[in-house]
Amino acid sequence: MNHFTFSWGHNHIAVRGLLRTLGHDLETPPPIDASTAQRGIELAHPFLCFSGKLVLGQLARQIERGGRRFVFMSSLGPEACRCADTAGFVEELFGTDSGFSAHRIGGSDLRSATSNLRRHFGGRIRSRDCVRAYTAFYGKLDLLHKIEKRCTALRCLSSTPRFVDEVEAEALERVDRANGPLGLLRTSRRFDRVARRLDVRAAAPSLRIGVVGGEHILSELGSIMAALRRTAERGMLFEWRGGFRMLARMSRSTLAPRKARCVPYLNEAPSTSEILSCADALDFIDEGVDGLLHVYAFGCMPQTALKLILQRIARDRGLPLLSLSIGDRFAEEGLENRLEAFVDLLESRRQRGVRT
Amino acid sequence: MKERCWVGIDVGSITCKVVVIDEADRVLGATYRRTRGRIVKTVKDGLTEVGEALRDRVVAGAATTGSARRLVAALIHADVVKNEITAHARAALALHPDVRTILEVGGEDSKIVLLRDGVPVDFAMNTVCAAGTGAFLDQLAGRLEVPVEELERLAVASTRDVAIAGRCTVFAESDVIFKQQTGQRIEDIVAGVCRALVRNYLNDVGKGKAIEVPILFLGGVASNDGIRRAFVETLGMPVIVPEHHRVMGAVGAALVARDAALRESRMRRPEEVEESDFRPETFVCSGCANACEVVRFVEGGDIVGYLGGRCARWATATSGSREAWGLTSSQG
Repeated sequence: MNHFTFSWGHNHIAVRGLLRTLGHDLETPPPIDASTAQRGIELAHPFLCFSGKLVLGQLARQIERGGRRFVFMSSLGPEACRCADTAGFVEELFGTDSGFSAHRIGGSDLRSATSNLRRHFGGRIRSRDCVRAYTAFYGKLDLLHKIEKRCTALRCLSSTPRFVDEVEAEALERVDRANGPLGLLRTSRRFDRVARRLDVRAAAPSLRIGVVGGEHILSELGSIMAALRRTAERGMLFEWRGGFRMLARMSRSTLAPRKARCVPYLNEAPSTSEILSCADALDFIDEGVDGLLHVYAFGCMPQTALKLILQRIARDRGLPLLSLSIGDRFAEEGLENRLEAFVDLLESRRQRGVRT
Repeated sequence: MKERCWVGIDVGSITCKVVVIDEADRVLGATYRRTRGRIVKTVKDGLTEVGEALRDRVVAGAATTGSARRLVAALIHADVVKNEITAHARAALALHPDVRTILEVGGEDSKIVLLRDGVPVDFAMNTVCAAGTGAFLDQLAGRLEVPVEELERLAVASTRDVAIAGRCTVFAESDVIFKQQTGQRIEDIVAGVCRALVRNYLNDVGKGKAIEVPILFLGGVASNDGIRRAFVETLGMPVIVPEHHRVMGAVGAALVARDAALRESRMRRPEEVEESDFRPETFVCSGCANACEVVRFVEGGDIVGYLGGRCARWATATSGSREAWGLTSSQG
């Protein structure tokens, strides 16, 4: 049976891996264009973040095409962020009349993850099926993040970005087709070989900028990526840790060291999104980046709260910070303007020897 | 040998500024006009107005800045295109080398730039709201039925504090109506509006920023001494409004053009710009699902350039290179 989902970058490929292990399949989400976004904006509660509106737009499109069974990339585990609220909102919006049925990926342990899968796919799923499904899911997710991150860096520094696009598209297709851990390992090695050949610009980047926040927005919305690419033509390297990590394996024990990293800036009980972004920012500073770029969806509560914390970190460490809130009413011109000015500022600091 | 000069043009959402400078950073000619939505015509008129400063001089470089900088660059064949934050910082440092804070309030955006030892070290711009900008004053001047230029005279004649809500222009307008109904003097209301703008600016753009003297106040809004006074009162620090505060972005652009140290400028003579039938047209690219809005510049029946799009497809495309991109006429 075919299922439907939305796209966070290329994460739907990992969801398809999970479903295929269980004998189901997934339709590729429609690309996000202006009309899809508009549909989401019409349907959404005004306080839902922009990313949530895009999700709604995509789901509405699929429901209109007859889709009924959905898989949500919104974890049920301790790492669940407010995006999980979007799932509840969609269920409320479409649930009663359309026969809408949604499965949320994840669980805090094997037992709850298995029971979660059984609720959606029927009682025939055994614990070992669950392990196989999640092995495929997380294996593909890790590889997707690696490809996305590497290709973005290459695109920024390469003189032939269109060729990088082709390499990325081919690699993603291979991840989608790959079966089992061995298949994924072969795909990963092949990608490494090709990517090494793509490293065309030998010179070190003139500036390094650490990107934190809702990094998935970078791959999801073409406009900011286009602005980053144009800026990167001046020799910048934009670095980030990964895509939509709310789905990654983030148990309480793995989260604890990241939380400890955030002291003294995050002392309360914040969400995973804040912990990861704050810890990443501190790591980037220690690694000697020239500036921090904070990207988040307008209306995303954890990231809005984090903006003030990042300002404090930037002030304490004397590092320039640019926060970009991306939403449906955000003009692309303004985005590029700020980014260009930020890079000018970093270049002028570097030229005049201003130290962090 | 003819004297050299540099041209800077700053076209924002509301106004167009054209400046000509010489080798000693002196402003030889400057013009400040409202665009009223007709950018191309306003730039042509602005260049004609500074024509006297260009006479008997050779243009050694031209740069554009402001939100319409790319469009204007295509019109005049500018040598350099630069964002207005960098342009303002460049001009402020040239004219006041010891400046540590720049407050700039423009038509629909506002910014703060912090400088230390002559280096810009931090900046911020308004994000999702234009309540701390000139648009706020324009709107409320309309509501009070006074020309925006009159606001200064009224604000400095205020004798009493009247609090106006400054978080949102619409709410501020409701508050102004309420204050009018309760019999407050217009002078006191206008001074309240000025303080509201400053509060909004400092709580949004200036939040968390280490504002230090010397402070320069730039932009068209700096012409209003009521706003300058409100900044002084709120910050408890002196605020300087320099002579060329309204055209500082254009001065910065001209300086950026000079920094480029070009052998010769590509810029067209003002007469050529005046005679040009240059016009922008917009179309939606059908190359992929992104459906980007792309601007096409047309002159003399030919496509002379493109602007916009999320990929590199249109970045280098002109009428001659369309075939190289495999485009058919139906694709825009």
